[in-house]
Amino acid sequence: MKRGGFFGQYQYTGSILHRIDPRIKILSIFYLIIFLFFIKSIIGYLLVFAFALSLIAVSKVRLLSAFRSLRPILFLLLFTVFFQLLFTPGRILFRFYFLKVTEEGVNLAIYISLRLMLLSFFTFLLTATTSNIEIADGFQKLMAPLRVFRFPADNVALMISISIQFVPILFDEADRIMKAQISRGAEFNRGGIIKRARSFLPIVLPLLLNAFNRADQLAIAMESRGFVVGGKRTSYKLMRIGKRDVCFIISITIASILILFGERFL
Amino acid sequence: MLEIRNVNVVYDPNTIFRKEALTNVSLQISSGESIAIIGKIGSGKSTLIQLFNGLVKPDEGEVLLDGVDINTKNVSRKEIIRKVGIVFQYPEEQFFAETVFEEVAFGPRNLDFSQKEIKECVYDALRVMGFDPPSIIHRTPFSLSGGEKRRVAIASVIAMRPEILILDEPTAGMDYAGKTSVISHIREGRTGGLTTAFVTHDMEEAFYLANRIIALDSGFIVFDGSPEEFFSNRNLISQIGLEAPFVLRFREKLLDCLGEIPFSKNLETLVDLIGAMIGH
Ligand SMILES: Nc1ncnc2c1ncn2[C@@H]1O[C@H](COP(=O)(O)OP(=O)(O)OP(=O)(O)O)[C@@H](O)[C@H]1O
Ligand SMILES: [Mg+2]
Repeated sequence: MKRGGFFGQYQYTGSILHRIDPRIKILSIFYLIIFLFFIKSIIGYLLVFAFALSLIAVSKVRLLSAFRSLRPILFLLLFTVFFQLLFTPGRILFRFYFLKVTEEGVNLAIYISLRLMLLSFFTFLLTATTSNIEIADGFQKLMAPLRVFRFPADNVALMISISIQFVPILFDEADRIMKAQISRGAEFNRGGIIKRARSFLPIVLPLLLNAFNRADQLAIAMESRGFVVGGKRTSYKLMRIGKRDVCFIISITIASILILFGERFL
Repeated sequence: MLEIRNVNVVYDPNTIFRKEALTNVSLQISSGESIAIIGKIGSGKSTLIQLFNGLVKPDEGEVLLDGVDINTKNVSRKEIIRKVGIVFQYPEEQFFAETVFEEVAFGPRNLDFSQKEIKECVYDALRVMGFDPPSIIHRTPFSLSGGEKRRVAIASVIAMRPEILILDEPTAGMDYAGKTSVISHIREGRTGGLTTAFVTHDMEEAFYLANRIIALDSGFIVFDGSPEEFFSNRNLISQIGLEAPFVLRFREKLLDCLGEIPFSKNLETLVDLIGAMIGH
C-alpha cells in the first residue's frame, strides 16, 4: 500500500540544506523562481537544470522523488506543450492534415515545459528539505516587518501555519471518509458531470462538518491555554542567520551570475 | 467463507515511514461466528479489517471471499460490498443526508436495490438497531444523541444486508448506556444469523460478545481461539499489554486464597456459587 501526497514531501536526511534557516530557503526559492523568467535560451535552462540537480544532490533526497513530484503538474505540462506546438504561428516545420507545427511552436513548447519543470523542482527542494512547521515559522518571521503597516502579520502567519498543519490531517480524514462511503457502495466515476459532482457530496459534506468541529475545538483549546488575538508571541526555536546561511546565499548568487554568463557566452 | 492466506501489508514501502502493518496473517471466518479482534494501539486491527473488503490490498498473499480472490480484476467492488459490510470507527462522522431514511438508504441505493427493497432494508436495519422506524426516519441524523447516531450509522451498513458485518471499535467514545444499547443490538443482529467480527479495546466486550478471539501484536496474529482459552493465558495477555475481564481477575484473586473455585462467566452466578461453597 502506498500513500501519495502533495505535502508529504519532507524527507529528512540531515543534509546542510535541511539545516539552513527556513527564511533564507523561502527567499532563495522565490529568487530562483523569478530568476527563471530571465533565462532566454535552452543553454540557460540546461544550466539551471544542472544547478537544480546539484542542489538535489547536496540535499541527499532521492532523485526519483524529485521527478515524482512532477506528477501533479504532468497534465498541465502536456496540455501547454500540446497547445504551444499546434497553435503558435510562424515558420511551418511540417503539417499533418490541418494541423501545423511551427519552429516557434516547438521552441515555445520546450521553453515553457522546461520552465514549469524547474519551477516544480525548486518548490520540491523547499518542501523536501523544510518541514511544514519550519515553512510556517519562516513565513511568520518574514512577514513580521509588515506590522509597521498595520498588517496583521502574526495572525496571518498563524493562519498559514494552522492551515499547513491541518492539510495532512484533512487528507487523512478525507481518506477515512472516502473509505467509509466506498464501503457503503459509493462510486465516484460513474455517470455524467452532474451525477459525478453529486457523488462527491457524501465526502465533501462530512469533511466540512468535521473540519468545522475541529476548528471549534482548536479555538477552545487555544483560548483555554491563554491565546489572545493580537498578543505578543515568542517562539520556541530561535532563528538566527549563521555562517552556513550566508554561504548558501553567496553560492546561490554566484551560481545565478554564472548561469547568466554561461547563457551569454556558451 | 472469508479466508485470508499468508498476507503481508506494508505501508509506505521504500520510505523512512515504511511500516509492516501485517505479517504473514492467515485466518478463516465461517458463517455464524462472532469474532473479537483485539490488540494494542497500532497493532494492525484496522488494517486487517480493511483487507476484508479490498480497501487495503495485500502486498503478498491473498484474500478469498467464497473461494474467489477479491483482488483480481474480474471481481467488482459491489460484489464484495454486498457480502462484507464494514462499519468504520466513529461512523457517525460520515453522515451527510438530510434524513435518517436517506442516510440508511444510501448503501442499498448504491447497490441498485429496488425502491421496495430499499424501504424494507432500511426499516429492518433500523429495527435491528432498536428503533421504531416510522418515528425516526424523517429526523435529521445530526440531531440525534451520540448513541442513536452510532446505531443509525451501524444500521446504514446492516441495511445493505451483508453476510458478514465487521465493526471497527463500535463502542469507542460512548458512555455506559450507549455502549450497552449498541452491544445488545449487535448481539440481537447476531441471533438473527449475522456473522460479525468487531475490533475492540474493551476486554469485557470481547469476553461476553465473542465466541472467538483473534489477538494481534505488531502485525502478527498471536492468538486465534476461544475467549476462555485466551483469557486463561495470563502470560500472553500481559505480554501483549492487555488485561483480563473483571470476572476472571476476581476469580483468580480468590483462587489464590481459597484454593478451589467454581467457574462462571457471569458475575452473579459466580458469587452465588462461591457463596454456596463457603456455606452462605
Ligand atoms: N494509511 C496508512 N499509511 C501509513 N501507515 C499506516 C496507515 N494506516 C495505518 N498505518 C500504520 O500501520 C500500523 C497499524 O495501523 P492500524 O490502524 O491497523 O492499527 P490499529 O490496531 O487499528 O490501531 P488503533 O487501535 O489505534 O485503531 C500503525 O503503526 C499505523 O501507524
Ligand atoms: Mg484502528
